Amino acid sequence: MIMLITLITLLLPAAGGIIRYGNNAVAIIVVTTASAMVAGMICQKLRGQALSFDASTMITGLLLALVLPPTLPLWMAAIGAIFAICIIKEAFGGLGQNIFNPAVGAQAFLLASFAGPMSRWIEPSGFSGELITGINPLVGEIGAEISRIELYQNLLFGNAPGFIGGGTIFVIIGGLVLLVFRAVDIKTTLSYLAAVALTSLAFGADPIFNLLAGGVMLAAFYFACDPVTTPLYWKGRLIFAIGAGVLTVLIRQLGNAPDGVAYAILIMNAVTPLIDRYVKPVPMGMRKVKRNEA
Amino acid sequence: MYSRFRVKINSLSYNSITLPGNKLTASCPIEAIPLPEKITVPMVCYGNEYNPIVKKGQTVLAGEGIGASDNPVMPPVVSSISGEVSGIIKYVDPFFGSLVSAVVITSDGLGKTIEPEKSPAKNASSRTLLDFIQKTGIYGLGGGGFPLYIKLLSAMNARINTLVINGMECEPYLTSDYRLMIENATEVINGTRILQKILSPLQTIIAVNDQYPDAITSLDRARASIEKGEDITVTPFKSSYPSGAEELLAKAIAKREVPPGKLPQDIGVSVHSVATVKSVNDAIMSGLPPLERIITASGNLSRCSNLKVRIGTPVTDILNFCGGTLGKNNRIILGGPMTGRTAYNLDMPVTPTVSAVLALKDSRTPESECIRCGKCIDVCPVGLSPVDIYYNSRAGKYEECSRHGIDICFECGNCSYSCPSGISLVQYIAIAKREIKLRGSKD
Repeated sequence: MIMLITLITLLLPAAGGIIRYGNNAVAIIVVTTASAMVAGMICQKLRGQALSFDASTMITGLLLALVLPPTLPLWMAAIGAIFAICIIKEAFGGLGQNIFNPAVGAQAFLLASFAGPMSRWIEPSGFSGELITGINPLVGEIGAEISRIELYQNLLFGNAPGFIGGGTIFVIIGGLVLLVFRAVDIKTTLSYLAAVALTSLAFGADPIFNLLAGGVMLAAFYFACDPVTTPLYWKGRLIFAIGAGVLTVLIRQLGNAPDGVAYAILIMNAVTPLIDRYVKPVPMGMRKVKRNEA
Repeated sequence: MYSRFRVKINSLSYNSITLPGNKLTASCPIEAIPLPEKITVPMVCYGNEYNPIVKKGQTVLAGEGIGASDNPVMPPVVSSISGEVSGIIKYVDPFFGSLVSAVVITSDGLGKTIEPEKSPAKNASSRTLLDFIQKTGIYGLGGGGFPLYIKLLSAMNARINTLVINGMECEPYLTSDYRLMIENATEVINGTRILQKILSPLQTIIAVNDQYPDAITSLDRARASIEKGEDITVTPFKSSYPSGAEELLAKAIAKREVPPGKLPQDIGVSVHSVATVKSVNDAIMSGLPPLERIITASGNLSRCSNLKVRIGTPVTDILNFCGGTLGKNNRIILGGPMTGRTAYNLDMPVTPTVSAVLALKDSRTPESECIRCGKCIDVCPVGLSPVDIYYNSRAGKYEECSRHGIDICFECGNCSYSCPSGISLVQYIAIAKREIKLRGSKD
């Protein structure tokens, strides 16, 4: 049920990507989703399981497409999707057992393997098919010719070069649907966004820009709320979200990667078992009685 | 869908969920069903295994002991009808979870009872009352089915200060306690009086579900009409699931938590269900052991109702009395929808802890993989991590389950109910508990 709602909400940013990048976006979305599904079925076959439709595999394929640049060669996109399913998910034991978020892991894998094609950004041009190289606001200096407000608008409505899923407004609408259906925990989403904004302020960076640019919104509603790769207990999930938010901005401000979201999420994924071990609910009757109460 | 919230008690709180009430039978008066032709009495009351003390062909009276425990303190299991022992069979008790003997008795249709025990006088001492309760073998009709005598004795030793009568009935569908509080309010109050005499608590609270305003009024009226009725308070408590569990009720009243491995009486609270206190009153009046209990027959039945049935009545009799089930694909549940057990055949009897017979659509979906979302932790009223117990139980690591606090779990079913992957977590917990118990008894 939750999986299906998540899948449906992802169609919004995907549609946004298609509006922005036309056939290029369609091709990448189709390739990643299809290769993820096929890879998933092959893994099921290899593991001797009955073939069945796994919505989470489809979600992984779609999410991966959303964090890829529109000009990425299709074979690279396919490799990314296959890596996500076969290595990050199934090799760790399949649904529920993977440590890293498959889509984010695959994005990081592609960034490391194909740095060039993964950082070619083009201006959104719809179905016209024109490939005008643009500057991802996260990478380049923001030109003096546009005001802050215009920049925010461009990021929000997806008029700036970026990922296929870069139309932030589409992600936010999808995310609100998730919140309405309680598929994600609002505490996690808000604490991630708050951590991003506050850390930006601490570094003297523009918090609104950091919230709207890159994969922050996708992380707030999808990656930081992935049930599988985040801590079990809500207090642990808060730590995850805050940690991921701080790391995102740290990487953006001090690191080499323009969009720190992927690495921030992966680092927090890696510490999730540790958080799970130490942040637990207190069973009844085991709560320490405060001295002054007793 | 359900919503989750925390019940707050001063600085303490616990997780609970709201369930659809489905109290279809709230307006159905309690009706007695005809004497069953045959009863089956599993030799496993009070969580202990019993040995049959009757032989095939022997005639028994209603109230006569037919099974005894190795432990002399435990009261005997009694027959609820008069007739002939037609056989001793093997029976898988779904609550006890293993194969036990069961005595089958064919009714002679007369319902002759044993010589009643002499009822204690009005001004009897607490010792006399307690002895009477031991002799009649009254047991708790809440969830545990524990002999009342032992429970009261240990509550006396623990010097409890609060007596709580539990009228929460927080599970969906169930209305038997509600009808009891409406129709037999005086008996409930009188029974409460007797427990008060035995335990002499500082305060006595009848905790009633706040969705039951009529029951609160009727109990309050009955309380006001007796002598010194003001030392019993009828208090509404928020209806949520599982707010009626005795540990949680004790926590809400004592403002303290029951430590692991301890009972509510260890924090000064003794909790008894309204059905139990009513049966105390009935036993004093009749001098007989409890032979009947009130159950809710509800769900997809032609006619839903609250029924007074003899202990041991087969489910078939109840279904026939209710005109059979409606539609296909029904599961028959013994007990409430959250804590009951599915009947595996229709000859299964109503045992003292069975509060309902429900026919519910089988809406189970196949279990899919755990996605580690942590919903089960969010809804656990006693702060456990059911997912950890599930993984360890599935892997056979039962010692690990103990480390995760499995003993604290009272199997309310919130985790199974909320699991998005449809995993019956409570089932895995119950398996682990049983394995731990079996291994413990081997050593």
